[in-house]
Amino acid sequence: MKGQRNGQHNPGHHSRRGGTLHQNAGIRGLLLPKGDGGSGEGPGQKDVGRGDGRGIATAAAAHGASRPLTVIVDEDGTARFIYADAFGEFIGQAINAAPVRRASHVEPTADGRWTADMAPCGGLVLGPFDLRAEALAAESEWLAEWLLYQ
Amino acid sequence: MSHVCSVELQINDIAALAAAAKRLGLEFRKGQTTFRWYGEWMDDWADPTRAAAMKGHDPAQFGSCIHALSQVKPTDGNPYEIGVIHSKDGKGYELIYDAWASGHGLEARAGQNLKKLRQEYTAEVSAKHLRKQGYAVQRTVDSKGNLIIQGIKP
Repeated sequence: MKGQRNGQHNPGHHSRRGGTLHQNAGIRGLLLPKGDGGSGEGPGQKDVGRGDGRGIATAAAAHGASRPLTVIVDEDGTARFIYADAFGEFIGQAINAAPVRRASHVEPTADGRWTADMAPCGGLVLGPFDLRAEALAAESEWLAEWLLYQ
Repeated sequence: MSHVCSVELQINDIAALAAAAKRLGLEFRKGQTTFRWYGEWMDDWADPTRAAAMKGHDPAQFGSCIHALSQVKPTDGNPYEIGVIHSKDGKGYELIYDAWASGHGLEARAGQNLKKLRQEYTAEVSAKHLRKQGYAVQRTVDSKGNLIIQGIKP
């Protein structure tokens, strides 16, 4: 993967594989990709949600990766997760519907490459990457770590 | 005194609730139609965020339920119980209990406003769904007290 991290390092970052991870409080839940990362609203947008005691959700084998699916349940019952389509029934029936918030945006650049903008989670812009799939993979990796370190 | 508290958690999976309760030292009593509480509504609690009477519940129905959660080996001599009742909107179930004196042992197990029970319930539902999807489930607790449920494909 040829991507570089853009922007300034923020306090509280963790180094990982040459990149940075940002700890950010505030966004309590995560809903992630539908299919390969597209939400239907644009190229590679991801959604963030919150299951506040009523809600739940999880996790992420986003883009077909073999990453474990993870649900983090706070002490007050709030659940944080990265959304995958496999959890649609789970969210809709097993628990109440969780509000959804954007987590990130994967966008094309003017020169035909791809970036993953993690700003909705308080992160940086990842990339640019030559392939959109690379941007999506970096996005998923970043979010999975972010979820654990909230 | 009666401080009957309704809890903002819609229960859709009774089996998961029973499993969550068991982890906290509570026994699910299927079909028990009353739950132990003070026994008389005193109209002495005006907390709009917690008091069941201020959240649309009829005090005349306090003490009635369709299932109950009871303390296993209670240390309090008058152990209150949690009632499982139908949600006001008709979807699933809600929880209700008398929070006076911390529910006489209930909150020591299930947390104030039953937040520990909410957490366990959510974790149970998560784990159950992951297993249904074919994942092996691991459960850990982090340093913040968060429950981490992970599903791993065998």
